[in-house]
Amino acid sequence: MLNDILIGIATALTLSNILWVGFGCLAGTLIGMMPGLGPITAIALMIPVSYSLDPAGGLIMMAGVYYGAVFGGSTSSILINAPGVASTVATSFDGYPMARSGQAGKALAIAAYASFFGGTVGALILLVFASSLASIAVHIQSAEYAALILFAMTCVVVFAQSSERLPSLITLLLGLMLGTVGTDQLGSVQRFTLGSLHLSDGIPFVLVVMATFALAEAFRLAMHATAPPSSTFSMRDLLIPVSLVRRLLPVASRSSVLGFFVGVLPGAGATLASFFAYDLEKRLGDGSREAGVAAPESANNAASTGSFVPLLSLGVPGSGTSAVLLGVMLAYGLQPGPGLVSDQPEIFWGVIVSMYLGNAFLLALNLPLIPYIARLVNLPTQVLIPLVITFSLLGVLLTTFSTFDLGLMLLLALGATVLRSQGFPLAPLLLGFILSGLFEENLRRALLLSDGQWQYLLERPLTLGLLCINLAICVIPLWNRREA
Amino acid sequence: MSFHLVAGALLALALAYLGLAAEIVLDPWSALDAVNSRTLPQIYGLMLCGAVGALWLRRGRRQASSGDQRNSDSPSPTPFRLGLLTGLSALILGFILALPWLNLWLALVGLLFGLLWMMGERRWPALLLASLGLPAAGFLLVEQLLQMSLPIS
Repeated sequence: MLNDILIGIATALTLSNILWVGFGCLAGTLIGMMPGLGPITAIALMIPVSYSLDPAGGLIMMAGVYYGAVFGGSTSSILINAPGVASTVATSFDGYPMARSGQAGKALAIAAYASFFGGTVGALILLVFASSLASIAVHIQSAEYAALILFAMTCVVVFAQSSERLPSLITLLLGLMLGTVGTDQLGSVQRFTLGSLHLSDGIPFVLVVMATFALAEAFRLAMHATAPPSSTFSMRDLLIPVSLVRRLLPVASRSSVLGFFVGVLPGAGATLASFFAYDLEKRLGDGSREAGVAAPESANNAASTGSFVPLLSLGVPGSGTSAVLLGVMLAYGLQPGPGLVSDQPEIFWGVIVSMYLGNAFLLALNLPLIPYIARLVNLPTQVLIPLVITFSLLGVLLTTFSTFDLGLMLLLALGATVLRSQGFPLAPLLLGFILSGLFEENLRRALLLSDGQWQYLLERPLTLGLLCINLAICVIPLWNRREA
Repeated sequence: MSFHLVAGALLALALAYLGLAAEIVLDPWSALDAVNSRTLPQIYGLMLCGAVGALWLRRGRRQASSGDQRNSDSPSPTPFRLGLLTGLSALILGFILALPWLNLWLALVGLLFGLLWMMGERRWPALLLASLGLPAAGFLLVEQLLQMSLPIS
């Protein structure tokens, strides 16, 4: 295997491939920064460019695009609260308040360092455990996914502040309900479409995220016109104090490891990883805003790396983005799977090594740009709000090309603004929406496999373990309250 | 905005959702499944009814215990400036309605100009630069550089 790894390093370190990964990072960052455009769009837009390269060069460039777009999404999350992709939603929870309080540069710098750290840890774990992880991932089936998703949803409600538990549950349920709109994938039945063809494919993710975060946030800002945060930021601010590094290092370490292993599970991916890591830090860590940025950023980057495990070694895409990458590989005539590892080690290991290279490039490219990017939040609100509204509308329009979706987005944004004015948190709504389809699909598939027998879930040790933990985290707060 | 109004709207939404869930057509085989197309929506709807009811009760109890009836409609953490919200919404709605008739980039000029004006921007250079520059840049990037056509429906 060492020989194969060396072949991969030699492939990734050719001058042309280094240039392509750098180009990919830059293009990915720029595309990912546009609200509504995430890694999938970035990779799709770069497909024509990749066809002009050899398979190794093309895939290496795509790895750069992927990382760049994930980081670019974090930038728009932090600066204008408009996460283009689900995996950067958790970053906005603390990143955006930091930006509004004049710490945009610091938040971006922490995000860049944490992303690099997460990517590095992910690449190292991948390098060592790639083949053995693939064999473990195959054993995670629908029942375990359903239990894992239920666990994620329970955490969001139970670990909220006690006064916010019911509002969190309500918005989580609203998200789950929004996620049921459209054609039921397993039953092929139209649900809650009100006879409209526009809704038959469901409500697009980008629409919900733009409505509840970007547009609703613009409405909120407009209703409380405040002076823009006066943040002056110089290159010196990129040097994070040693005390903060010492504090954030354990946060980034545990989030990266957690993120990587969640990312390996097909279908779970960077979104669950970032939410888990954020939640873990808020409950078990010091709860600071810096940790709230570092945790999801290192987790989603490590998870992005982890999602390459099932893709490269099994040919099973772990996320929408890896599905697009799978398409690119098939177009090159490559068949991902165990054969790729043994027959074309230069491609398998070349891509893995270039992921690390991509991370290094990302840091080198983005750090010098941060002082300029951070100035965006210094725009006066009378200019910033129209820009946020316009970008969020364009983000949805250029993804769906539908005026109906724009109308629906406005409606959802107004609803979200009203809910927020009453103190309802909106993050659970988004999590519920993202997980709704996954939860239903996996639960129903598990029950189909067991011929409708619920005990099947209890006979699987991992599922049973997750359900028990779930029950425990629901009961323990009630027990504590009774004791108090 | 009153909490009771919001809670009432949420409850109405949950009931409407439950009504629509009951109307989901199932084939005879799916109807026998342990979890079919209706099951989870019905659970979500019922849970939402329960959660909204519980929140309503809790807030009511808290207000009763504090004995301050004047606060009954004011736990709003964020004051509502309905006029501005209505104006922004109307402008966005106008943009959406204009899209099928106008070119996207022309409609965008109008939207940006309107938004900037409504938010209090009165400097003509800023107004013109933002409302003309952004659509022009978008046109060049999307339609000229990326060669994307926009089949807006």
